[in-house]
Amino acid sequence: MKRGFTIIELLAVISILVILTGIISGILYSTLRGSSKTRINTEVTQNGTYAIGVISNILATSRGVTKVGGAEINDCTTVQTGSSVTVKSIDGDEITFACSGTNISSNSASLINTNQVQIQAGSCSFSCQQKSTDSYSIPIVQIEFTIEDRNAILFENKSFSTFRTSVSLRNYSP
Amino acid sequence: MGMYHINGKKGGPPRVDERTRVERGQTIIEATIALASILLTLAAIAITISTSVSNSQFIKQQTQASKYAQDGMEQLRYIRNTNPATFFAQEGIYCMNEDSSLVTGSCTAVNIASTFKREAEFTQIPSVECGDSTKVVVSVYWASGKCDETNTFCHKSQLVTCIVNQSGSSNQL
Repeated sequence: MKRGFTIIELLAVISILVILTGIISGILYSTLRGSSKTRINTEVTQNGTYAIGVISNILATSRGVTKVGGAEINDCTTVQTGSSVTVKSIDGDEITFACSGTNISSNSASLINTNQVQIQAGSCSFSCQQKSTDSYSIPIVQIEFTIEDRNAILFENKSFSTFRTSVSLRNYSP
Repeated sequence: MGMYHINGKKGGPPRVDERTRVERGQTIIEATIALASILLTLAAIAITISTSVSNSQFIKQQTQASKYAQDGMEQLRYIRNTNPATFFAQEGIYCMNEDSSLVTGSCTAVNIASTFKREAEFTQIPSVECGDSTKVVVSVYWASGKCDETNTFCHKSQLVTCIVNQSGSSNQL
């Protein structure tokens, strides 16, 4: 009984070890992948929620829309659509929300963390609409953009989310 | 005294043999327990991670759904502002498309972002919550692997509000 291991015993032990290592590394890999997917989803959601929250709060309290897509407008009786919108805020200042490249900003301040996420190319639009016969009716502004993760390389880590909402201007005063 | 105790028990050599056999058996049991506990721990980690991924997916969809519900609510408010006659003639459940057009009845398929179903319900008759004004409920439904087959769209984001019939036209703001 004290003559050590036979080759069969050794082989059995080694093969069990190899199988175990395989299982463990597989689980570890999917764990790391899963946690990074969770982190990326959270980043995308947080950035998008923040941006759309800031924009819709300011729009809801603003007095009117002065520019869409950089062009001066009188009213929105014909639907205006563009990649930026300028509103006259409740304190009289002009605030411009614009998508330029992969960023979305309020005046010059970025609304997303550009180290983490970016705006998907061509996904961003602002549109303003008003009753076609009545320039005194309350306009509604629709915002839409898609946020995606910036650093994901692997397909399964990619995450994107479309944010869309509409706001009617509570303090509209033409 | 010590000698007496040892000699007083079973004989030396048979006892050693017995112990050897018992220890070898324990080693196998120990190894099995160790392996089982490693596997259990790993399984627990894997389950935790997959739960966290599906939860983060759920949160992402919930955020989107609540924005679509708000979008629907604002669009209904816009219809009230611009076309009150139409708005106050609506009654019951309507499927509310992405372009905010209303189709009578519940949605038969997803109609927003290939993921969500959006419905608007109007109650024009005076109610406790809303008095004389119109009660409006916007619900956004979506499906996931957690839903069972009888109710595939089991997640819901719902907004309820009362919209008043403003007297006069919007020209008299």
